[in-house]
Amino acid sequence: MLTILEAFLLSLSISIILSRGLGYASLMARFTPMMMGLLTGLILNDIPNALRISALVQLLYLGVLAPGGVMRSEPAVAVSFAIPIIILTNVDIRLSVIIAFIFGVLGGFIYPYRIKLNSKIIRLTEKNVEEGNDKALFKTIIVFPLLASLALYIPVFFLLYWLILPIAVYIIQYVSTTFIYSALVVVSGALTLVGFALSIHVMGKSSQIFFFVGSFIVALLLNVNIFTYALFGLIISILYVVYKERRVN
Amino acid sequence: MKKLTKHDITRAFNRWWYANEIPNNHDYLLGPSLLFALIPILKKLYPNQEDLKEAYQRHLSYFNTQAIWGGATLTGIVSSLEEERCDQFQRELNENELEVSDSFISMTKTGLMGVLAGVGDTVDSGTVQYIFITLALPWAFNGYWIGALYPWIGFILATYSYGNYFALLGYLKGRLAAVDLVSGKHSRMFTEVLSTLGLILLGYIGANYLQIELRSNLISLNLKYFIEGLLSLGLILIVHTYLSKKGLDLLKGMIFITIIVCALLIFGIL
Repeated sequence: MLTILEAFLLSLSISIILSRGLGYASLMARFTPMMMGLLTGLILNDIPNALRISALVQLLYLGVLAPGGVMRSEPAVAVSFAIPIIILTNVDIRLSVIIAFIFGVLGGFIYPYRIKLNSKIIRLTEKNVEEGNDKALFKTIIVFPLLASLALYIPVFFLLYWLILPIAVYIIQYVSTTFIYSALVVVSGALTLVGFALSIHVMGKSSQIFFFVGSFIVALLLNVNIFTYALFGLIISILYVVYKERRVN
Repeated sequence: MKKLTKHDITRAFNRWWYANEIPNNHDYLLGPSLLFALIPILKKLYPNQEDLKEAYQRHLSYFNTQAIWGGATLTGIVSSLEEERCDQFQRELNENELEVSDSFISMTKTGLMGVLAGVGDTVDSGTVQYIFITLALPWAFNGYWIGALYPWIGFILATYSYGNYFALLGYLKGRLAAVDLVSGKHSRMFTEVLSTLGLILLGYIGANYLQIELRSNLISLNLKYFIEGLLSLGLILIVHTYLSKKGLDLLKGMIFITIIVCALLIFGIL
């Protein structure tokens, strides 16, 4: 199980990310599992496994956008539970996808309470605006919302990591001895396909899907480094767009 | 008459970049962040305390948009409008004669924030972010920490640089800047190159890191790898078609793929 210190450090990290305390740099930390995955790896002292799990969970969340900042399943929260659970139970890494999604949904329930607290603090901001007090505005626009978010999230997540996570570990350990385990692993691994399906939608118009299909097949046949591949990809993209632009004119 | 400098605009953008989602609330959404960004500019333009109070009031209003394409551009545009307003103010026009009235400023903000957010969400959150992520995923799959750090830093530096440019563009060109970004030729070509590149990289990651394994041992290893890849691709396209019809919902897609995979398991294919 996690020690008190580990549970506390995890809850501190996730709370800073969810409070958006790093400015716009919080965006990727919250909406993709990678950075929280790295932090979790640091805290649990197992960066290689943490990164492998984060990468797999990332595939599920590839096409997830949050217009207006609302998310049904929080990727950073998701991975911060999936990593310790997989490490502690030693089950197939593919199971991390379904575990991550479930805890991500839990995170999605917890996140909006921050906005409720801010909606109380905004009354103070209104008062400071009337008085034209810019020093106080700094407090009520930046400092108070940050403190409120930390005060809300740190205890909640600490209890989740410390008390609820062991229950999940127990359940997963039990499931891994039953007959559904191997099927569950396959299904969980296949869920990552959905991330791709969504991402195609978010990135391009339907006329561009050809590039995804073509690239997929070419990459199956070739064995090249991603940076080489990206360079050729960039050249092809530029040629395509320039050609299309000329044809329109 | 120009009163603001490039430095003032960059400073406002920095403040917006940091405040962004911190004070998000039900009444004004990101309104307080824009107010926070503009405080130094408003103080510079309106030395009189009463005018300053009015200016603060004006900007504590409903505002919600994407941070870079929407927020940065509008920080610049609103700064230029406030500067113009201040200029007219000093020529002692009364409120009715002002070309840049309160309602004009608020209409500009609300009129542009949605369109710009649409572009920004697709380009930044949907494409640029995932180009950095997919480039680093092979490292991450091999367990290297750089696989997480590289995309994070890359994305921050890239969006900050063009965000700062958008803020200055907004200040110099006013509302025309928004037109440039939404429907300008260069912006359109730039975003299209990015989305095409994004799809190509997505194909690479799909081909190399999806873990669908056939149960059959009859086919040779190389061929098996290729067929497994084609199977993954086929399944992605099926889910894609399904979601195009039923709405883009992660959970719906997950339930759909679970049913398909269970069927494949029952028939002994996977």
